[in-house]
Amino acid sequence: MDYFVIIVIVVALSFDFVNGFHDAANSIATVVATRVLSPRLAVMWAAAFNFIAFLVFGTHVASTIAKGVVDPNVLTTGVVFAGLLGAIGWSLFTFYLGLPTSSSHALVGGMAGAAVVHGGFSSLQSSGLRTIGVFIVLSPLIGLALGLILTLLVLRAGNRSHNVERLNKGFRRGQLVSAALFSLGHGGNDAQKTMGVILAVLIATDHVPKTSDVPLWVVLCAHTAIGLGTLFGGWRIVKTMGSKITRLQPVGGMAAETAAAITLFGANASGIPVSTTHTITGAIVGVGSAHRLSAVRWGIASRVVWAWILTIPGAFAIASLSYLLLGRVAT
Amino acid sequence: MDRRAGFFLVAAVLCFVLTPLADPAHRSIAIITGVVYVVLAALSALDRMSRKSSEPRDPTRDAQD
Repeated sequence: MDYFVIIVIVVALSFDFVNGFHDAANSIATVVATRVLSPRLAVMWAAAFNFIAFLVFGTHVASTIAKGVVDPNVLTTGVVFAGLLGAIGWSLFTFYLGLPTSSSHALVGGMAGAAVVHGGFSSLQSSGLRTIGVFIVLSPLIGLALGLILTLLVLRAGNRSHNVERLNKGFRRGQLVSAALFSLGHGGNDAQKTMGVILAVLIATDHVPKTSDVPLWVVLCAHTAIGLGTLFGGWRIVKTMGSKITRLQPVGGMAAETAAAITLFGANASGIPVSTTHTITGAIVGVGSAHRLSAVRWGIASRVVWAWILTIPGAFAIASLSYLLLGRVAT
Repeated sequence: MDRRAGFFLVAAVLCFVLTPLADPAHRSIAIITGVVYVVLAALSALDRMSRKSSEPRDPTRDAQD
């Protein structure tokens, strides 16, 4: 394995780490906002379930990333490297601004940007990109609907209990389960994107055959990286996700995370790379709208939406520039 | 009109617009999600109607949703 491939793999795992770091708040914001767990315990809880997600899910999402975004015949180490730089650059930029954007879509945008500079627009896989594009909109909508429905069901069941304190205590425990499920879904979807990138590099450099599945060492490295990223995750975004969009009680927190987990589990099973950020945000909005639409602070939510809209173009641009400056060296 | 119901209807329309764009294997997901939002819109509108008919008229509350 030549040095540049190793460098690209290290960069990919760094992206995975940054992804976990950037998305840590998604996993812990609700349990921290509702004070179910302290921030330190919450990140340890989330990181553990991020890591063991490889025991639960297959590698369909990884296959989509490796072969469904860019024509595998066009992929080179230079393209992947520049794509990763685009994704990391955009993720760090939005992290600095405190905006919960999608690392996943930054990766897709980055890969596309570098590939277009290298091989033109014909190098893009329209079918895969169409699916990813459709689910950019669908995944938060599904999360929203599920969050709303679960909240209504839980509130209806809870209305039969007149002891609110006992109810909240029960739901606080339930939130541990829902946070674990969400972290499983997050690890299962997001770590696979890095696996897909590494698989693409290995295929492009003939280290593995084109029909190869993801090697076990890649699976373990990717899940370790995302788990460590979550463990060292930042707190800048936690306020936005947990309490600025809408106020959450344990009931709402549990409903939001369960809704997001169900959506992610479905996406993982279908091999669709989705944004965990979009999904949990949609679920939180759904919980808020169960009470009334004005419970959602639309000003904050709209800032988030603008960040989403700019993610793919932003990462695309950074990756294109990166490839122009650096990528040709390794082609 | 109930703003929440309107929001859900817009979401339903969005889902149905995305249906032909989706991969054939995933079109049913878009359709089902759209149908769910239509149902939620109807339930929200019915909920608002029943609240309005059963509660004393309060001008400030009417503006909330």
